[in-house]
Amino acid sequence: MDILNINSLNDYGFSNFNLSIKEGFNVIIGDNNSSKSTLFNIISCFYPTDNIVSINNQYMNKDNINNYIKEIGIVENLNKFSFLKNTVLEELSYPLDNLGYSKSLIESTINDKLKLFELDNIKDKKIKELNTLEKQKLLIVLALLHNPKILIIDSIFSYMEDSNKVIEILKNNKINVLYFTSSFNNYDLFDYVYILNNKEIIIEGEFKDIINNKILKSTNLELPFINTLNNKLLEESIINRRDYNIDRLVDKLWN
Amino acid sequence: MELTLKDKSINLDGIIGIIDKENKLLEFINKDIINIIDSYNDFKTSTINSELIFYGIDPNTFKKELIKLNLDIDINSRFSKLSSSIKKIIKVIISVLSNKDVILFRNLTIELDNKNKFFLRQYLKNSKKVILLEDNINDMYIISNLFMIITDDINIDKPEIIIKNNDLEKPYLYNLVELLNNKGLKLDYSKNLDNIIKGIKEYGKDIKE
Repeated sequence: MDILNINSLNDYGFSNFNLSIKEGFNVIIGDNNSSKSTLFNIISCFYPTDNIVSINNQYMNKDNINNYIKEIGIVENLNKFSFLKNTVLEELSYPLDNLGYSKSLIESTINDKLKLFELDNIKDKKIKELNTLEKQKLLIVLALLHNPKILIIDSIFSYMEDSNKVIEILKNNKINVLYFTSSFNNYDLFDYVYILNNKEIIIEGEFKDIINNKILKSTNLELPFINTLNNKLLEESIINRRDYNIDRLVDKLWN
Repeated sequence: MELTLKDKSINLDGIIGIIDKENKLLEFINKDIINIIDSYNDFKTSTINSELIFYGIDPNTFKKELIKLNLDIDINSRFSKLSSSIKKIIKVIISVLSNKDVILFRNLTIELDNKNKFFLRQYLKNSKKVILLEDNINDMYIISNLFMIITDDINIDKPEIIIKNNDLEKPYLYNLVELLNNKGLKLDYSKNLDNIIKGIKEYGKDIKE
């Protein structure tokens, strides 16, 4: 079942742009001129649209914005985000208090979410005392507090030391994600990939099904090293079948 | 350029990859000579032109740098209308044109595509400044002529020597050559995959399955 839909977007430079996102860890990969940021801003309500984007059947429009917003959790890069409060507990309590949660529900929600990301020990810390990884995980916790249908994440894993582990936590807890990036880092954890090029989805599918598509060459994307290596060895007729295990591939090259 | 780092006088030129897990570099370097860039979104003003005025940079000099990078950008553009990658490139140019002798870029290449990485590499190599780069190991390996590892002491050497003598994640290109040489080939380490494949073709044998 689709959880996010864009139907015939004809604004912000897009032309008849359509997108359907299902459950899982979805990734939109595009080079630096693909308009990823514009699309991120559209889905995140920073750029308004009228009955074009829907999440969990809630349409983004002037009258329904509050319902739409509840369906998404937005995770921006750390360097684009300003924390509002001094301590982690204050930062996390503030949005829940605004939503009218009771004190006991605020406490249990915060404890549950922090525990999910192994952040139990930071609850009483000042935000300025946190390391970068803790701050990055805190951004994800903040976005998850109201149990949104999907997290919209902007490139944060490219800057994260322990990104595989954090993505695995999201996947293991069946948290739906739409992740925007220019990089194929963590590709083994992607459920579904959309390649965005010049405001169009030019390929979509599981990583293994799209990565050898020749259309990728028309983009400026940097493929994973093992794929680039296989492609070049095939072009030079040094191998005649791909192998994605570097040790096995080296064995084939020189026994 | 001669730098004094932790009471050692070291001659550095070009681009140096930094491995500084405990953030000790700033204890060891004279802060007056270094410009540290770790965010590429924050500007003092709202347009490119006003930013140039803020830093006392001649717009014509800036425009010449844009040409070197094959970019056509109106210097009256507002930063809010520019993409993340263009803002990053503008930040790099302004840093290079600043009056500091040493520039430390953190996470410079992350989220840049092939085209922008290529142009920035060429630009920084020709910048005539000492560029310190703290970035992902693969990009640092490709662009740097030296690696500097900073712990309680400072070690500077060719990247291959630093990687070999320290417990570091191996860059893909280094790892490929190392694996092949462990099998008996005698390939030179290279920052260019095409050169490594040429080496395999020259010294290796074609394997047909």
